[in-house]
Amino acid sequence: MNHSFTWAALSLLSLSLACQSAPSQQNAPTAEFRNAEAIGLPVYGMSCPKCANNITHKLIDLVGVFDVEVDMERGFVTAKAAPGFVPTRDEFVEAITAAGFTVPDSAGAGD
Amino acid sequence: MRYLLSLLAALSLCGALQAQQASWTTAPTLPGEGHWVLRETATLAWHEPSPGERRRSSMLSSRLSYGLDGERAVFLDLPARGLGRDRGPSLGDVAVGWKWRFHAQNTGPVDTTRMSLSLGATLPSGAERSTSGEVVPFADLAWMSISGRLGLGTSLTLEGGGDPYRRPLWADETGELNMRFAAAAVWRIDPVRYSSSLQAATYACVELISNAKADDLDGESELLLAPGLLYEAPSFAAELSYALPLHSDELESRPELDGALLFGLRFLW
Repeated sequence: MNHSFTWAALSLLSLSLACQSAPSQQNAPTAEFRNAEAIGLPVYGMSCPKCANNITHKLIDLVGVFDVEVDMERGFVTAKAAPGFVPTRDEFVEAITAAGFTVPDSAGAGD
Repeated sequence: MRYLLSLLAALSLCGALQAQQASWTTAPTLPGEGHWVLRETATLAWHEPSPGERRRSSMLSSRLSYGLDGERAVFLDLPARGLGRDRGPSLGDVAVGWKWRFHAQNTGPVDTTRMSLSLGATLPSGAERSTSGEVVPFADLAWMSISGRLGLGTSLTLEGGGDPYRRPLWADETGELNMRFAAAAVWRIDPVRYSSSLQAATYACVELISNAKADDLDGESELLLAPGLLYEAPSFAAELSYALPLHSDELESRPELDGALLFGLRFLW
């Protein structure tokens, strides 16, 4: 038993070291925007489709939002809303945070 | 010593993985606020009570989780147990619990590291032959990290002692204070890179599961290796895994496990 466990632990150790250097699918975040029809911000931590779907559920609950696009490749989320109902940046960030994800601080503002 | 090595390995994994949830290793994943996740798993296990004798048992388990907010959830486990050809299925002990994701660090579009603590108890609500007959508390600490296509996770579960099940299937049903350590590596096979729209992903998983009495690390214990597959779509996931015993030691309260096949479905709404 001890040999098996030692072997298993060493295997995990090796695997973890390999993982630390594994390249991440990480692209430069697209700059955030907000206009009369939509708002879009970079979002971090969308590690699986099911998790990312939480974002769709959360944003679609905001008044006026009728469509949400989640781009896991770029790490960017866009919420489209009826004119006059586009969520503010704070509302967007609050919804993303409540879903367990992060809007990076370094995202550049733009309108 | 065995657990020290495992814990060292677990700690060393900490820089690496997060959100793909493997089959046997607890993951710090939660439903979003106000949302539900239902996980249905069917497990078919083969035991060897004595040399040359094989016994098949099965477990159908439902876990319903509800997200209280972004970091907390409650869950309910409803197991149904089948104990071989001679006995039909019966309801096992219901478990209730609370899960708190106390750490989340999102460092890239798909990169994240998370940790959670679950506390709960199984209640003596099962049928006579499928109950421990007592309230049995449990605690679970889980960590996961996802970096690009690779996810790594570990979990450590402690389950308090109670009356043993009459025919225990798993290590935590033997009436002893039990400890389970599990570690998982999950590799995204497809897609290699995500597209601009939300799409399903397929993962290959390898897990290492160890069970032992918490108060006697040189006593009854077992080590299992479980390869598997996980398919994850935006609103549901399917999983398939087969646990193979690598080694067992001092098993007295339950028969040797020859292998266990797990099939599961998870639904999010």
